[in-house]
Amino acid sequence: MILLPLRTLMYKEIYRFLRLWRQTLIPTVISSSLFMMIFGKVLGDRIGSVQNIDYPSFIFPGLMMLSMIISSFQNTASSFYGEKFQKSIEEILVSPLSNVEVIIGFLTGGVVRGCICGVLVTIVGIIITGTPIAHPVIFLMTMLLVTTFFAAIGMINGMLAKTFDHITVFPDFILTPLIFLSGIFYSTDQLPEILRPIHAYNPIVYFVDAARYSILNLSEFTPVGTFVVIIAMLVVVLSALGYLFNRGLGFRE
Amino acid sequence: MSTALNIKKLSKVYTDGFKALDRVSFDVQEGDFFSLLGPNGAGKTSLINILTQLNRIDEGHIEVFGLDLRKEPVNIKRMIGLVPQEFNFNMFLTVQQILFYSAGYYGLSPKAQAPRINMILKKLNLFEKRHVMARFLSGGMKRRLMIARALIHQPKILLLDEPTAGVDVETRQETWAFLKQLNQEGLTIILTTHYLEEAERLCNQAAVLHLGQLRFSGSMNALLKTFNEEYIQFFFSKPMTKLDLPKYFKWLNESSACVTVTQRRTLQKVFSECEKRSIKVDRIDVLESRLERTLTGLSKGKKL
Ligand SMILES: Nc1ncnc2c1ncn2[C@@H]1O[C@H](COP(=O)(O)OP(=O)(O)O)[C@@H](O)[C@H]1O
Ligand SMILES: [Mg+2]
Repeated sequence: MILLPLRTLMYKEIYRFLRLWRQTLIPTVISSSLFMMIFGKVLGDRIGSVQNIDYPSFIFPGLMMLSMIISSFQNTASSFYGEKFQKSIEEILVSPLSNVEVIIGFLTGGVVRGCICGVLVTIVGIIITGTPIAHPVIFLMTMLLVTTFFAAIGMINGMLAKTFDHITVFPDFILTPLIFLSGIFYSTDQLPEILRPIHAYNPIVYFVDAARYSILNLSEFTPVGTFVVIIAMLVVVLSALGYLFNRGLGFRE
Repeated sequence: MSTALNIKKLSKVYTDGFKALDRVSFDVQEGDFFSLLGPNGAGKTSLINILTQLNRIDEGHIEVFGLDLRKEPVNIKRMIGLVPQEFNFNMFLTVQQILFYSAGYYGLSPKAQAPRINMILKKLNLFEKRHVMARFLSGGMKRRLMIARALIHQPKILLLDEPTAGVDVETRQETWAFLKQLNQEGLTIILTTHYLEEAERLCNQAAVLHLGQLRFSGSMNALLKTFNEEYIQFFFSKPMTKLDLPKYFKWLNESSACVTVTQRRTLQKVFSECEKRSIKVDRIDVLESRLERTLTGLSKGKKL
């Protein structure tokens, strides 16, 4: 049983983006569908297949990740920053919610929004590419891990942001490049020699690999190794979030 | 009667090194209507924010109804209702949504929520506006919404940080009447203000802060004996000539005039005189308050 105060915050965070579904859910689904259609139906024949998988199917898991990462990140970053900006965060801070509850409440919004976007893109992907899900349970687990991870990063970003620009700098200048360099559109052996060693230091590579494994049964690393890395990263990010939130960094003097 | 609030040697140094509170100590008894007076920058909001845990407590001790703020922060949060100095609700939610969320955060059972919210909305004259988005409310309504929100969980102490700053005369009078009634029903109220008149009208106890230090703490009567007068500017709704006004007004132009308020010529008396002569007062502004004058004296070395 989740206690009422936390339930209220979770409800508020979910309602916030559902109310704005045209802006929060639809755009990412449209752009992912366009990628799959254009690369699949229009350019697919020229590109051919990657690792014996037709190109639209190969990019499908990565596009799903792209959508989940951006939407879970954006949700917590803009929600927390927005509350801080309007000072309505004070309403939550003076109430008897514990720090852990506040964190869970905000993360829930990001996780749910990320998962809804992921599911929508997956449905579109299955329709366009005809690819079934190879490992459904691992697929669900991957969705939860990736959305929690990026919701936490978004929340840290929202806490530290002092202006609205600060919550767009990170996704535009760091997140998006890392996502596009994470092998959504190519496999590692197609990378130029010099880029290959750095490739493994891009955290998003592991999320894309997990998605590709759960959908296509195809992986660059061993699946167990991939999940160990993901869970380790998640522990680090959640600890950082907990630490920063307890210190009240960016919102409590 | 028990001690509602006990503050001992409370200090606050902000991260930039600024000392906003310097070993402040005072008590508030249950049922008191207590005013925390001081000019802008005195440290009133800093103190309130520590009580509500919006700011961390660094040095000193706070007990709320016998509970230590450091040991039982969550239980203390349940006992306090806060009306902050600045609007701090989500402007894109409706009045009702704001109250529902707050009721939920404080753990009010879903069944109890609707009746409680409706009751408070009616009490604060906001019931008709319950489906209106907060940003479309007038300034006075927004203030009332913050009071409604602070009362939703039936706190034992109500904290109001400058509740009538920038509020029109009518709303101010209404707010005063409402708070007085709450206090008579037994609620302990602590109000910050830089406006002595407000404290005088409402409070039985007071503390005075100046530059982070406590300059006075005791009964309102004792405090009033030490202050003399206050210089107030009146703004009229309709143009006034010099002759329309009582003699003690200093006429400035058609729409405003000044008056010195003293213990014998209270603001209330001036108001009723205005009413008698059908002078419509739009708003008033304290040009130089007794408090400020006295505190200026204090900082020059005079003793309170
Ligand atoms: N976050 C902060 N960092 C540094 N100084 C602050 C901060 N908040 C307030 N102050 C300073 O502390 C002093 C007291 O402020 P405040 O408590 O808001 O006074 P009041 O509410 O009595 O007007 C002021 O000089 C103000 O500039
Ligand atoms: Mg203040």
